[in-house]
Amino acid sequence: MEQLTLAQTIQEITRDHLENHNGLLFGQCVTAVGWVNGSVPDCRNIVELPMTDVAGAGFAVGAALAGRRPIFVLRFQDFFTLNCNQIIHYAAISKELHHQGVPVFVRCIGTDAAGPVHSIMLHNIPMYFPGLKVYAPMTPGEYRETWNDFMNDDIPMFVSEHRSAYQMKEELHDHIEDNADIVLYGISDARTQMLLAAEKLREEGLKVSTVHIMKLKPLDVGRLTDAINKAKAGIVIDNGFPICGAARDIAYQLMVKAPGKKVYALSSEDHVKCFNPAQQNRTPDSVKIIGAVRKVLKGECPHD
Amino acid sequence: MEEKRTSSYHTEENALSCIADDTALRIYGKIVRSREMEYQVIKAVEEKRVIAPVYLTLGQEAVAAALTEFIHGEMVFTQHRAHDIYLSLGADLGKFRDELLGLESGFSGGRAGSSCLRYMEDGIRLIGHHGLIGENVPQAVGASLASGECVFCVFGDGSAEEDYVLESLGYAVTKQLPILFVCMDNDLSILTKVAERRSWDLAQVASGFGMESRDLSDCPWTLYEIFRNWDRKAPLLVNVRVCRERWHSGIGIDGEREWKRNEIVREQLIRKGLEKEVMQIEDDAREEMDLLWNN
Repeated sequence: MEQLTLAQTIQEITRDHLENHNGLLFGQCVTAVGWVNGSVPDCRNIVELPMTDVAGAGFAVGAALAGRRPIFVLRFQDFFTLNCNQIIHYAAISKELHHQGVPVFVRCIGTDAAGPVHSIMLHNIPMYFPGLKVYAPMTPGEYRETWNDFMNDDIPMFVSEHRSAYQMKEELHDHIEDNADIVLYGISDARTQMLLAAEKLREEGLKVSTVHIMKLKPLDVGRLTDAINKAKAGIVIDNGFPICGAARDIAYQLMVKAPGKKVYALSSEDHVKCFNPAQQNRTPDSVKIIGAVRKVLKGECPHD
Repeated sequence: MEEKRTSSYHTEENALSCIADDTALRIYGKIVRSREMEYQVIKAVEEKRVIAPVYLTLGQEAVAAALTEFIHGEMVFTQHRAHDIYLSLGADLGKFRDELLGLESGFSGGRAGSSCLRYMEDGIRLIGHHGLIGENVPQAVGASLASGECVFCVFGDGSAEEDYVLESLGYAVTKQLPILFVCMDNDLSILTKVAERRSWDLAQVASGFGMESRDLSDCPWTLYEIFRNWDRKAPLLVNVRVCRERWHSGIGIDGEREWKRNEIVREQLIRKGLEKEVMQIEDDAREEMDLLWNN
């Protein structure tokens, strides 16, 4: 049987939910050109929303309260800045407040080089608030795990997707070495750049561990600390902005769990992501990651 | 120009005569019980037994009393000020008291308090808000869309100004969802009057969207007829002019109410020859709430 791409996997999961499990899917222009990169099936129970970016999330929350376990699709992550109220202030806190969950599956789709607003990645925002699971799956297997976790719980989930991953078929696995010179932790599309950087660094004779972080919250720090305990230092690489970002937060958590080890954060820069190719401020690429590793191995901070 | 903040605004003078006595007395009973409950809440706040903020419904309870005559298990989405709806739906009063007291035996384990009601037992589906005014309005639209069921949604005049509320009203019309929207218009957002905040009327905006709408003061008998005549095939918005008797949050009083609906209703029932029943209802309510809170 032919292996499915990530987009095909999402489409298959979604079709099953909508056709066989009374699910609903909400989104704007989701049945238009491309059907969200081929990830939305042509089937029943899809609601094309009007351009109501604040109310739309409320419709999804209402559907969850009515028992439909909706999928709520945001074609760009910046849309979440408009839609987040209902998710973080209502759905997320319902479980702890009332012991009654409001399960909404928020597909929040990121990309690069799409200008100052559509390029932003902000999985750090839902990480900040109690009551949400935040995952960033990049592979078909990870997406199935994400979906199963959603269906086996009753709290909302923020799924940070990245368009660059939709054609992926292969799974990504951790590579942990004893006495590694460095361990690289990758989030979202930074994971592919991390792997490229690691390959080049290994060609130079360095021992490099690579760890994929798919579950941002709750974070399985225990799984992640094994690699840093076997390495001299670590870098967490993310595609969001640096200040109060996911990479810094996770680096801090790792250092707490692995006393004596230094773990740095590498992200996009604290600048607007322009259309101009020279100022797109993209996800750290392999060149940037290699530069950061060299600085760390010299005892310097990678951001200086 | 017609004065809108009056007790008789767009009400039917003889509406009570169209309502059976037992129904009218049941509605009055809910009004009285809501008020007696709130008096006990005030006492508990004064005695510092209740220490979390309270959002009292004193003054607006006639609307809930009439509205809940037509709610039989449907989902009800409410605003922060909804004690009257909780009580009038027949939800557990002990759990309400315990919630305000911060006890584990409250409807949400004492965590949610006065403004974040959630009661999903005994055939009741009451879903309160969490803190952003009007957030319950898009939720009601989503719930009706997802379930295909009739849904009730109660919010305030401040909520009506939220962009997502207006978007939701429009979408309810687009989808012809069977939702009864009730705006408890007390003319106040904290203490800022509607006229300072906007130049438009919600009922007119709803009409502009193509939704049937009404605008009137809180005569429970007129409201009863409006609610009874709603065919549940399309959305209806009813903007109800009410008087908030206490502070936005807390038990303080800013001034005299513009009208006292509970007293007007009482006089109407007595004029109808129901004085004995009225007195009995009042005695029973006082005793019930006293027992509930002080035993």
